[in-house]
Amino acid sequence: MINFLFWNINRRPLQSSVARLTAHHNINLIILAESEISPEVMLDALYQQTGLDFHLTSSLCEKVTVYLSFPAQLLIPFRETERLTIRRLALLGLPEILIAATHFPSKLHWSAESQALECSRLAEIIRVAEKEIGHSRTLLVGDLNMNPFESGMVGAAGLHGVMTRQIAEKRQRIVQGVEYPFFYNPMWGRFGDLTQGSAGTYYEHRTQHISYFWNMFDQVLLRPDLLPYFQNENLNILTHDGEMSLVSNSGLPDDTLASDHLPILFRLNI
Amino acid sequence: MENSNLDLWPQSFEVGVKINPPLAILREQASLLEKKTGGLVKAIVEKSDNEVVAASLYRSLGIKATINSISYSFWLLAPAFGNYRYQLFTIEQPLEMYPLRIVGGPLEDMEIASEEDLLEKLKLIFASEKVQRVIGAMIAQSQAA
Repeated sequence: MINFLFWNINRRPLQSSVARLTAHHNINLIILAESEISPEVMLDALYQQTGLDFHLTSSLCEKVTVYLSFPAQLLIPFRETERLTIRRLALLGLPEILIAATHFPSKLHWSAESQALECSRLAEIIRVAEKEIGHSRTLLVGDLNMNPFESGMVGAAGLHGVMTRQIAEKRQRIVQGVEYPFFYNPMWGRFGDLTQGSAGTYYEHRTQHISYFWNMFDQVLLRPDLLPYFQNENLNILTHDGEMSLVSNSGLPDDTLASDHLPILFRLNI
Repeated sequence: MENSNLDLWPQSFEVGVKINPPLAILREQASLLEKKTGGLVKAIVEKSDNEVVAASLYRSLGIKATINSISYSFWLLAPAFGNYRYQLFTIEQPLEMYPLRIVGGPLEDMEIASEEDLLEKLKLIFASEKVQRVIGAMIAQSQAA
Protein backbone atom coordinates (compact mmCIF):
# COMPACT_ATOMS: atom_id res chain seq x y z
CA MET A 1 0.00 0.00 0.00
CA ILE A 2 1.42 3.38 -1.01
CA ASN A 3 -0.13 6.65 0.13
CA PHE A 4 0.48 9.76 -1.95
CA LEU A 5 0.05 13.41 -1.08
CA PHE A 6 0.12 16.14 -3.70
CA TRP A 7 -0.08 19.79 -2.73
CA ASN A 8 0.67 23.09 -4.40
CA ILE A 9 1.76 25.01 -1.33
CA ASN A 10 1.87 28.40 -3.03
CA ARG A 11 5.41 29.21 -1.86
CA ARG A 12 4.23 29.22 1.75
CA PRO A 13 6.25 27.84 4.68
CA LEU A 14 3.78 25.01 5.22
CA GLN A 15 6.26 22.37 6.36
CA SER A 16 4.39 21.77 9.62
CA SER A 17 1.11 21.31 7.81
CA VAL A 18 2.67 18.97 5.23
CA ALA A 19 4.27 16.99 8.05
CA ARG A 20 0.99 16.75 9.98
CA LEU A 21 -0.83 15.53 6.87
CA THR A 22 1.96 13.02 6.32
CA ALA A 23 1.72 11.69 9.85
CA HIS A 24 -2.07 11.69 9.92
CA HIS A 25 -2.48 9.81 6.64
CA ASN A 26 0.68 7.66 6.73
CA ILE A 27 1.94 9.25 3.54
CA ASN A 28 4.81 7.52 1.76
CA LEU A 29 5.28 9.88 -1.13
CA ILE A 30 4.94 13.65 -0.82
CA ILE A 31 4.84 15.62 -4.06
CA LEU A 32 4.91 19.39 -3.73
CA ALA A 33 4.52 22.16 -6.27
CA GLU A 34 5.63 25.71 -5.62
CA SER A 35 7.73 24.62 -2.67
CA GLU A 36 10.42 26.98 -1.46
CA ILE A 37 10.96 25.10 1.79
CA SER A 38 14.56 24.03 2.19
CA PRO A 39 15.06 20.26 2.29
CA GLU A 40 16.59 20.46 5.78
CA VAL A 41 13.56 22.26 7.17
CA MET A 42 11.10 19.91 5.44
CA LEU A 43 12.92 16.75 6.48
CA ASP A 44 13.19 17.99 10.06
CA ALA A 45 9.47 18.79 10.19
CA LEU A 46 8.66 15.35 8.79
CA TYR A 47 10.87 13.68 11.37
CA GLN A 48 9.31 15.68 14.20
CA GLN A 49 5.80 14.64 13.19
CA THR A 50 6.31 11.09 11.99
CA GLY A 51 9.48 9.94 13.74
CA LEU A 52 10.60 8.68 10.35
CA ASP A 53 13.53 9.66 8.18
CA PHE A 54 12.08 10.86 4.93
CA HIS A 55 14.28 11.39 1.90
CA LEU A 56 14.50 14.11 -0.69
CA THR A 57 14.92 12.54 -4.09
CA SER A 58 17.43 13.84 -6.59
CA SER A 59 15.90 15.67 -9.49
CA LEU A 60 16.64 18.31 -12.07
CA CYS A 61 12.99 19.32 -12.32
CA GLU A 62 12.70 22.48 -10.30
CA LYS A 63 8.93 22.87 -10.33
CA VAL A 64 8.16 19.71 -8.40
CA THR A 65 9.72 18.42 -5.16
CA VAL A 66 9.35 14.82 -4.04
CA TYR A 67 10.00 13.40 -0.58
CA LEU A 68 9.50 9.79 0.27
CA SER A 69 9.59 7.46 3.24
CA PHE A 70 11.41 4.77 1.26
CA PRO A 71 15.11 4.95 0.42
CA ALA A 72 15.60 7.57 -2.28
CA GLN A 73 17.27 5.09 -4.65
CA LEU A 74 13.94 3.27 -5.04
CA LEU A 75 12.50 6.25 -6.88
CA ILE A 76 14.68 6.71 -9.91
CA PRO A 77 14.33 9.76 -12.18
CA PHE A 78 13.83 8.62 -15.75
CA ARG A 79 12.62 11.57 -17.81
CA GLU A 80 12.54 15.18 -16.75
CA THR A 81 11.86 18.62 -18.08
CA GLU A 82 11.63 21.97 -16.39
CA ARG A 83 8.03 21.18 -15.35
CA LEU A 84 7.79 17.41 -15.40
CA THR A 85 9.46 14.59 -13.58
CA ILE A 86 8.87 10.93 -14.45
CA ARG A 87 10.22 8.49 -11.89
CA ARG A 88 10.35 4.71 -11.65
CA LEU A 89 9.21 3.46 -8.27
CA ALA A 90 10.60 -0.03 -7.79
CA LEU A 91 9.71 -1.47 -4.39
CA LEU A 92 11.04 -4.91 -3.60
CA GLY A 93 8.63 -7.63 -4.66
CA LEU A 94 6.11 -5.20 -6.12
CA PRO A 95 5.47 -4.32 -9.75
CA GLU A 96 7.30 -1.19 -10.79
CA ILE A 97 5.17 1.88 -11.35
CA LEU A 98 5.88 5.08 -13.22
CA ILE A 99 5.09 8.29 -11.40
CA ALA A 100 4.82 11.41 -13.51
CA ALA A 101 4.43 14.67 -11.62
CA THR A 102 4.03 18.09 -13.09
CA HIS A 103 3.30 21.70 -12.39
CA PHE A 104 1.75 22.77 -15.65
CA PRO A 105 1.88 26.33 -17.04
CA SER A 106 -0.69 28.63 -15.49
CA LYS A 107 -3.72 30.21 -17.08
CA LEU A 108 -2.27 33.53 -16.00
CA HIS A 109 0.32 33.26 -18.75
CA TRP A 110 -1.04 30.64 -21.18
CA SER A 111 -4.22 30.52 -23.21
CA ALA A 112 -6.42 27.41 -23.06
CA GLU A 113 -5.31 26.56 -26.60
CA SER A 114 -1.63 26.80 -25.68
CA GLN A 115 -2.22 24.63 -22.63
CA ALA A 116 -3.97 22.06 -24.81
CA LEU A 117 -1.12 21.95 -27.26
CA GLU A 118 1.42 21.66 -24.47
CA CYS A 119 -0.63 18.76 -23.12
CA SER A 120 0.05 16.90 -26.33
CA ARG A 121 3.76 17.33 -25.69
CA LEU A 122 3.39 16.12 -22.10
CA ALA A 123 1.34 13.12 -23.22
CA GLU A 124 3.90 12.23 -25.85
CA ILE A 125 6.78 12.28 -23.35
CA ILE A 126 4.82 9.93 -21.09
CA ARG A 127 3.96 7.58 -23.96
CA VAL A 128 7.58 7.42 -25.12
CA ALA A 129 8.78 6.75 -21.56
CA GLU A 130 6.24 3.93 -21.17
CA LYS A 131 7.29 2.42 -24.47
CA GLU A 132 10.96 2.47 -23.52
CA ILE A 133 10.35 0.99 -20.06
CA GLY A 134 7.96 -1.60 -21.38
CA HIS A 135 4.94 -1.08 -19.16
CA SER A 136 2.25 1.49 -18.54
CA ARG A 137 1.57 1.19 -14.85
CA THR A 138 1.65 4.95 -14.84
CA LEU A 139 0.07 7.71 -12.83
CA LEU A 140 0.21 11.40 -13.54
CA VAL A 141 -0.27 13.79 -10.66
CA GLY A 142 0.12 17.50 -10.25
CA ASP A 143 -1.24 20.97 -10.59
CA LEU A 144 -2.42 20.73 -14.20
CA ASN A 145 -3.80 24.28 -14.14
CA MET A 146 -6.70 22.95 -16.18
CA ASN A 147 -10.03 21.42 -15.27
CA PRO A 148 -10.68 17.77 -16.15
CA PHE A 149 -13.13 18.80 -18.88
CA GLU A 150 -10.73 21.03 -20.80
CA SER A 151 -9.47 20.07 -24.26
CA GLY A 152 -5.91 19.34 -23.21
CA MET A 153 -7.13 17.01 -20.47
CA VAL A 154 -9.69 15.06 -22.48
CA GLY A 155 -8.35 15.32 -26.05
CA ALA A 156 -7.11 12.02 -27.45
CA ALA A 157 -3.87 13.68 -28.45
CA GLY A 158 -3.73 15.41 -25.09
CA LEU A 159 -3.88 13.53 -21.82
CA HIS A 160 -6.98 11.62 -22.85
CA GLY A 161 -8.36 11.55 -19.32
CA VAL A 162 -11.81 9.98 -19.23
CA MET A 163 -14.42 10.13 -16.50
CA THR A 164 -15.20 6.45 -15.96
CA ARG A 165 -13.20 3.32 -15.33
CA GLN A 166 -15.33 1.49 -17.84
CA ILE A 167 -14.15 3.70 -20.68
CA ALA A 168 -10.55 3.73 -19.49
CA GLU A 169 -10.52 -0.06 -19.34
CA LYS A 170 -10.92 -0.10 -23.12
CA ARG A 171 -7.27 1.00 -22.89
CA GLN A 172 -7.06 3.11 -26.04
CA ARG A 173 -8.92 4.43 -29.04
CA ILE A 174 -7.98 5.37 -32.57
CA VAL A 175 -8.49 8.85 -33.95
CA GLN A 176 -7.61 9.59 -37.58
CA GLY A 177 -5.58 6.40 -37.73
CA VAL A 178 -3.50 7.15 -34.63
CA GLU A 179 -3.90 5.11 -31.44
CA TYR A 180 -4.02 7.01 -28.15
CA PRO A 181 -4.02 5.36 -24.69
CA PHE A 182 -6.53 6.42 -22.05
CA PHE A 183 -5.94 7.79 -18.62
CA TYR A 184 -8.69 7.39 -16.04
CA ASN A 185 -9.30 10.71 -14.34
CA PRO A 186 -11.13 10.15 -11.04
CA MET A 187 -11.21 13.88 -10.35
CA TRP A 188 -14.29 14.13 -12.58
CA GLY A 189 -16.15 12.42 -9.77
CA ARG A 190 -15.10 14.96 -7.17
CA PHE A 191 -16.78 18.04 -8.61
CA GLY A 192 -19.60 19.86 -6.85
CA ASP A 193 -21.25 19.66 -3.47
CA LEU A 194 -22.80 16.22 -3.82
CA THR A 195 -19.38 14.63 -3.66
CA GLN A 196 -17.14 13.74 -0.78
CA GLY A 197 -14.93 16.60 0.40
CA SER A 198 -14.48 19.99 -1.12
CA ALA A 199 -16.12 20.92 -4.44
CA GLY A 200 -12.73 21.42 -6.09
CA THR A 201 -9.11 22.08 -5.22
CA TYR A 202 -8.85 25.72 -6.24
CA TYR A 203 -11.37 28.51 -5.95
CA GLU A 204 -11.44 31.56 -8.17
CA HIS A 205 -14.28 33.96 -8.74
CA ARG A 206 -13.79 35.90 -11.93
CA THR A 207 -15.88 38.96 -12.59
CA GLN A 208 -16.88 37.84 -16.06
CA HIS A 209 -19.78 35.86 -17.47
CA ILE A 210 -18.15 32.46 -17.19
CA SER A 211 -16.86 31.60 -13.77
CA TYR A 212 -16.68 28.03 -12.47
CA PHE A 213 -15.83 29.29 -8.96
CA TRP A 214 -14.45 25.89 -7.98
CA ASN A 215 -11.77 24.38 -10.19
CA MET A 216 -10.12 20.98 -10.14
CA PHE A 217 -6.62 21.99 -11.14
CA ASP A 218 -4.92 19.46 -8.87
CA GLN A 219 -5.44 16.01 -10.26
CA VAL A 220 -4.30 12.43 -10.40
CA LEU A 221 -4.80 10.35 -13.54
CA LEU A 222 -4.15 6.63 -13.83
CA ARG A 223 -3.50 4.31 -16.73
CA PRO A 224 -5.79 1.27 -16.95
CA ASP A 225 -2.96 -1.00 -15.76
CA LEU A 226 -3.02 0.73 -12.37
CA LEU A 227 -6.80 0.56 -11.90
CA PRO A 228 -6.75 -2.83 -10.13
CA TYR A 229 -4.72 -1.12 -7.41
CA PHE A 230 -6.89 1.95 -7.04
CA GLN A 231 -10.27 2.37 -5.36
CA ASN A 232 -12.11 5.63 -5.81
CA GLU A 233 -12.83 5.96 -2.11
CA ASN A 234 -9.07 6.19 -1.58
CA LEU A 235 -8.94 9.58 -3.23
CA ASN A 236 -9.66 12.64 -1.14
CA ILE A 237 -9.39 16.38 -1.32
CA LEU A 238 -8.17 17.38 2.12
CA THR A 239 -9.46 20.35 4.07
CA HIS A 240 -7.78 19.77 7.42
CA ASP A 241 -4.25 18.75 8.37
CA GLY A 242 -5.24 17.20 11.69
CA GLU A 243 -4.58 20.36 13.67
CA MET A 244 -5.35 23.26 11.38
CA SER A 245 -8.14 23.83 8.89
CA LEU A 246 -6.96 24.43 5.34
CA VAL A 247 -10.20 26.19 4.48
CA SER A 248 -11.88 29.33 5.76
CA ASN A 249 -15.22 29.42 7.58
CA SER A 250 -16.94 29.59 4.19
CA GLY A 251 -15.18 26.41 3.08
CA LEU A 252 -12.80 28.06 0.61
CA PRO A 253 -9.05 27.40 0.55
CA ASP A 254 -7.54 29.62 3.21
CA ASP A 255 -4.50 31.19 1.62
CA THR A 256 -3.78 33.31 4.66
CA LEU A 257 -3.06 30.28 6.85
CA ALA A 258 -2.43 27.61 4.24
CA SER A 259 -2.42 27.58 0.42
CA ASP A 260 -4.77 28.73 -2.32
CA HIS A 261 -4.85 25.08 -3.43
CA LEU A 262 -6.13 22.14 -1.43
CA PRO A 263 -4.03 18.99 -1.17
CA ILE A 264 -5.10 15.68 -2.65
CA LEU A 265 -4.49 12.31 -1.07
CA PHE A 266 -4.70 8.97 -2.84
CA ARG A 267 -3.68 5.41 -2.23
CA LEU A 268 -2.51 2.54 -4.39
CA ASN A 269 -3.08 -0.90 -2.91
CA ILE A 270 -0.08 -2.31 -4.67
CA MET B 1 -2.37 19.74 -75.44
CA GLU B 2 -0.47 20.71 -78.62
CA ASN B 3 3.03 20.71 -77.24
CA SER B 4 3.41 17.82 -74.84
CA ASN B 5 7.02 18.88 -74.10
CA LEU B 6 6.01 22.23 -72.74
CA ASP B 7 8.16 22.71 -69.62
CA LEU B 8 7.00 25.40 -67.28
CA TRP B 9 9.64 24.72 -64.63
CA PRO B 10 12.60 27.04 -64.15
CA GLN B 11 16.07 25.83 -65.16
CA SER B 12 17.10 25.13 -61.60
CA PHE B 13 15.98 25.48 -58.01
CA GLU B 14 17.50 27.25 -55.09
CA VAL B 15 18.27 24.37 -52.81
CA GLY B 16 19.59 26.64 -50.10
CA VAL B 17 22.84 24.69 -49.83
CA LYS B 18 24.40 27.52 -47.88
CA ILE B 19 21.88 27.09 -45.08
CA ASN B 20 22.49 24.44 -42.47
CA PRO B 21 19.13 23.04 -41.41
CA PRO B 22 18.48 23.58 -37.69
CA LEU B 23 18.34 19.81 -37.26
CA ALA B 24 21.90 19.48 -38.59
CA ILE B 25 23.09 22.22 -36.25
CA LEU B 26 21.47 20.55 -33.25
CA ARG B 27 22.88 17.16 -34.16
CA GLU B 28 26.36 18.56 -34.53
CA GLN B 29 26.16 20.16 -31.09
CA ALA B 30 24.78 16.92 -29.68
CA SER B 31 27.76 14.96 -30.92
CA LEU B 32 30.17 17.52 -29.48
CA LEU B 33 28.69 17.17 -25.98
CA GLU B 34 29.34 13.45 -25.88
CA LYS B 35 33.01 14.06 -26.64
CA LYS B 36 33.26 16.84 -24.05
CA THR B 37 31.87 14.66 -21.26
CA GLY B 38 33.76 11.51 -22.11
CA GLY B 39 30.52 9.81 -23.12
CA LEU B 40 28.91 10.31 -19.71
CA VAL B 41 26.35 12.74 -21.05
CA LYS B 42 25.06 12.53 -24.58
CA ALA B 43 22.58 14.71 -26.35
CA ILE B 44 19.99 13.45 -28.76
CA VAL B 45 17.61 15.25 -31.02
CA GLU B 46 14.21 13.70 -31.46
CA LYS B 47 11.58 14.63 -33.96
CA SER B 48 8.29 15.05 -32.20
CA ASP B 49 4.95 13.78 -33.39
CA ASN B 50 3.58 16.98 -32.01
CA GLU B 51 2.47 18.34 -35.36
CA VAL B 52 0.25 15.29 -35.82
CA VAL B 53 -1.29 15.60 -32.39
CA ALA B 54 -1.47 19.36 -32.66
CA ALA B 55 -3.50 19.01 -35.82
CA SER B 56 -5.84 16.63 -34.01
CA LEU B 57 -6.14 19.01 -31.09
CA TYR B 58 -6.83 21.94 -33.34
CA ARG B 59 -9.66 19.92 -34.89
CA SER B 60 -11.03 19.09 -31.45
CA LEU B 61 -10.83 22.75 -30.48
CA GLY B 62 -12.62 23.74 -33.64
CA ILE B 63 -9.65 25.80 -34.79
CA LYS B 64 -9.03 25.88 -38.50
CA ALA B 65 -5.28 25.98 -38.74
CA THR B 66 -2.68 24.51 -41.02
CA ILE B 67 0.09 22.78 -39.16
CA ASN B 68 3.25 23.13 -41.15
CA SER B 69 5.81 23.16 -38.40
CA ILE B 70 8.16 20.45 -37.27
CA SER B 71 9.25 20.04 -33.66
CA TYR B 72 12.60 18.73 -32.51
CA SER B 73 13.35 18.14 -28.86
CA PHE B 74 16.90 18.39 -27.59
CA TRP B 75 17.43 15.86 -24.79
CA LEU B 76 20.41 15.26 -22.55
CA LEU B 77 20.96 11.57 -21.88
CA ALA B 78 23.00 9.82 -19.18
CA PRO B 79 23.38 6.18 -20.32
CA ALA B 80 25.16 5.10 -17.12
CA PHE B 81 22.41 6.59 -14.95
CA GLY B 82 19.58 4.34 -16.08
CA ASN B 83 19.27 6.11 -19.42
CA TYR B 84 18.04 9.19 -17.58
CA ARG B 85 16.98 11.98 -19.91
CA TYR B 86 16.44 15.69 -19.39
CA GLN B 87 14.66 17.71 -22.04
CA LEU B 88 16.66 20.87 -22.53
CA PHE B 89 14.45 22.63 -25.07
CA THR B 90 12.31 22.13 -28.13
CA ILE B 91 12.49 23.93 -31.43
CA GLU B 92 9.44 24.48 -33.57
CA GLN B 93 10.37 25.26 -37.13
CA PRO B 94 8.38 25.81 -40.28
CA LEU B 95 9.30 23.92 -43.42
CA GLU B 96 11.14 27.04 -44.57
CA MET B 97 13.27 26.64 -41.40
CA TYR B 98 13.21 30.27 -40.26
CA PRO B 99 11.89 32.02 -38.28
CA LEU B 100 11.76 29.23 -35.71
CA ARG B 101 10.99 29.16 -32.01
CA ILE B 102 12.92 27.74 -29.08
CA VAL B 103 10.49 26.80 -26.33
CA GLY B 104 10.60 25.17 -22.92
CA GLY B 105 14.29 25.88 -22.44
CA PRO B 106 16.31 27.23 -19.55
CA LEU B 107 15.91 30.77 -20.90
CA GLU B 108 12.75 32.52 -22.03
CA ASP B 109 10.96 31.16 -25.10
CA MET B 110 12.50 32.93 -28.08
CA GLU B 111 11.97 33.51 -31.76
CA ILE B 112 14.98 32.87 -33.98
CA ALA B 113 15.27 34.78 -37.22
CA SER B 114 18.25 33.16 -38.89
CA GLU B 115 20.97 30.56 -38.68
CA GLU B 116 23.32 33.13 -37.19
CA ASP B 117 20.73 33.97 -34.57
CA LEU B 118 20.23 30.28 -33.80
CA LEU B 119 23.95 29.74 -33.22
CA GLU B 120 24.09 32.75 -30.95
CA LYS B 121 21.08 31.67 -28.87
CA LEU B 122 22.28 28.08 -28.59
CA LYS B 123 25.57 29.36 -27.24
CA LEU B 124 23.67 31.37 -24.64
CA ILE B 125 21.56 28.37 -23.66
CA PHE B 126 24.51 25.99 -23.39
CA ALA B 127 26.42 28.51 -21.26
CA SER B 128 23.48 29.15 -18.94
CA GLU B 129 23.76 28.39 -15.27
CA LYS B 130 20.93 25.89 -15.52
CA VAL B 131 22.62 23.84 -18.23
CA GLN B 132 25.90 23.85 -16.34
CA ARG B 133 24.08 22.54 -13.30
CA VAL B 134 22.08 19.91 -15.17
CA ILE B 135 25.09 18.49 -17.01
CA GLY B 136 27.21 18.64 -13.87
CA ALA B 137 24.58 16.65 -11.96
CA MET B 138 24.25 14.11 -14.75
CA ILE B 139 28.02 13.59 -14.84
CA ALA B 140 28.12 13.16 -11.05
CA GLN B 141 25.21 10.70 -11.06
CA SER B 142 26.79 8.73 -13.90
CA GLN B 143 30.12 8.52 -12.13
CA ALA B 144 28.42 7.33 -8.94
CA ALA B 145 26.30 4.72 -10.72
